[in-house]
Amino acid sequence: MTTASPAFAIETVGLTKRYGPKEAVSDLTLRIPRGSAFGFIGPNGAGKSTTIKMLMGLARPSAGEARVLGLDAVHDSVAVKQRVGYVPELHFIYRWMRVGEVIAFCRPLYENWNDRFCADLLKLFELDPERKVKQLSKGMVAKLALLLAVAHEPEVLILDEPTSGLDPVVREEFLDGVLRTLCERERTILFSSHALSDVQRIAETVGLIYEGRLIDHCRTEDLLNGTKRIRAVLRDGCIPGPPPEGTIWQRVQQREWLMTVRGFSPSTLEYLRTKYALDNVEVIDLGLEDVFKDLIKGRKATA
Amino acid sequence: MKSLLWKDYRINRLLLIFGFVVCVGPWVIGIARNLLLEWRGGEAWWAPEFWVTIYGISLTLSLFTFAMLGGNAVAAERADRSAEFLAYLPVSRGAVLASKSIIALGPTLLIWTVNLAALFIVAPAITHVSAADIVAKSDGRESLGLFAGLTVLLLGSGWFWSTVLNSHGLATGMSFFTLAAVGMGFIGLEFGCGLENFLENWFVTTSLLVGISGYVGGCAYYLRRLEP
Repeated sequence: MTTASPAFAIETVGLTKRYGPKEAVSDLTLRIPRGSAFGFIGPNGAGKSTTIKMLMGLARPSAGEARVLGLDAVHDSVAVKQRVGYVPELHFIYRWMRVGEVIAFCRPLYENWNDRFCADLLKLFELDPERKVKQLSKGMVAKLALLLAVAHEPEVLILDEPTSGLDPVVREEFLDGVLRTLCERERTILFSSHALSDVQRIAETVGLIYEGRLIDHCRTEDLLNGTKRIRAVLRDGCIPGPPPEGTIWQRVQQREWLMTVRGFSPSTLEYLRTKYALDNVEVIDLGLEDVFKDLIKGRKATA
Repeated sequence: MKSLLWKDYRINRLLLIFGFVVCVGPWVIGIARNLLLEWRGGEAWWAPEFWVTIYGISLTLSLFTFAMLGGNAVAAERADRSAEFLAYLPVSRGAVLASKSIIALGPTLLIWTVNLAALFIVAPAITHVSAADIVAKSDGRESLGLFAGLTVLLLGSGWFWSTVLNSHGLATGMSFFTLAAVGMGFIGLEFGCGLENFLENWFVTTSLLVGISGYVGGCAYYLRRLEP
């Protein structure tokens, strides 16, 4: 058994989950430092939710281990849940309870429940304690889930696609809530979402998971600064050959050669100019969504 | 634990009201009928058989309550997926199980207490016939054993199926199916294999064993299972 360093809020070592012959998560080793915001991104079925379930002790790993705040996620799951706030993609809060009853039900289960903070959030999210959960809109239920996840002042907040299905206004309010929580108290946040603009806004580091494997894990800033799309226009008769080092995706259409390069530097352009006859070359900045798409497209093309 | 108990009580509230009505209802109706007869100058039927009959009706109707209490225990929360919400909370599986056990076993004991108190305390006081005589006169001993066996079998097997299945309706149905399977098995053995009085001698013991095994097996399965 390895011992988790206290510096890491979340640590997985060789974490694997098999469903029959299929590996949903494969040999995942991930370390998320305390007090950081980590964006967990990947296409549908990549293994994000399965990983999160293993972190929350809701699924048993087939191999490897998952530790949260130094505690074993499966064997110490009650202790882990005391110190972790979790907002799942789908909310199954008791529909027959009133908002106030849900809070009254959850409150005694947590050692560090903060009544004042809870009351503040109720006001901020405009949640009526007298309304039944089944009468709430999807957005209001998401806000209630966030309130329940943070009112006990967790050290780690795990958000699994929390904004899916929410309209832009509610999504904005939700993210404001998360950001407020993040700013007010130094917490570790693991944020999984398909809305990469949200991830880019919140996450300091990102991990990209594809087919159960972690294919990239770095600082968001470094990823965006170091990944550029190059649009090169080839001269007539010039045939594109090997792309520059670090190319994760490329496409040639007539004379236009598009490529996304990871670890971009001036030498990348130098390489292209020296090796190929180019009419024009252009460097385009990318957002996290474009980088993600190109990484996945590149992976699929290689496969 | 208090909030778990409150939650389980609220989930089963309608069922508990139903259980209360079918347990107490026959007594209220029977006694009210006799009092009405006396009030009109007629002759009320306070014989020991009256008490055993009402007790029989009350416990027969309560068998549905026992099966539903078992069947609802875990599967009711799985059916609407609120079990997943519960799984996110810092509650041990043992505490969840203890709360569900109290909500299932408590009313069962209460229903039995009401019926036994009526039969062994109230009836002797009114009829001036000893409790032992009341039971003996009306084949009460056999029916007591039979009802105890059926209660444990329906509650225990309902509990087991509830931990395994995702539908409380199906779990309740399966508890009656288990009863039918045990009964058919016994009839088959008695008539098919020529085992005389096999049903009479062993049904209660077997029902108790099946019910207790169902409860223990269900608990063991639930403690190992991860929701959802």
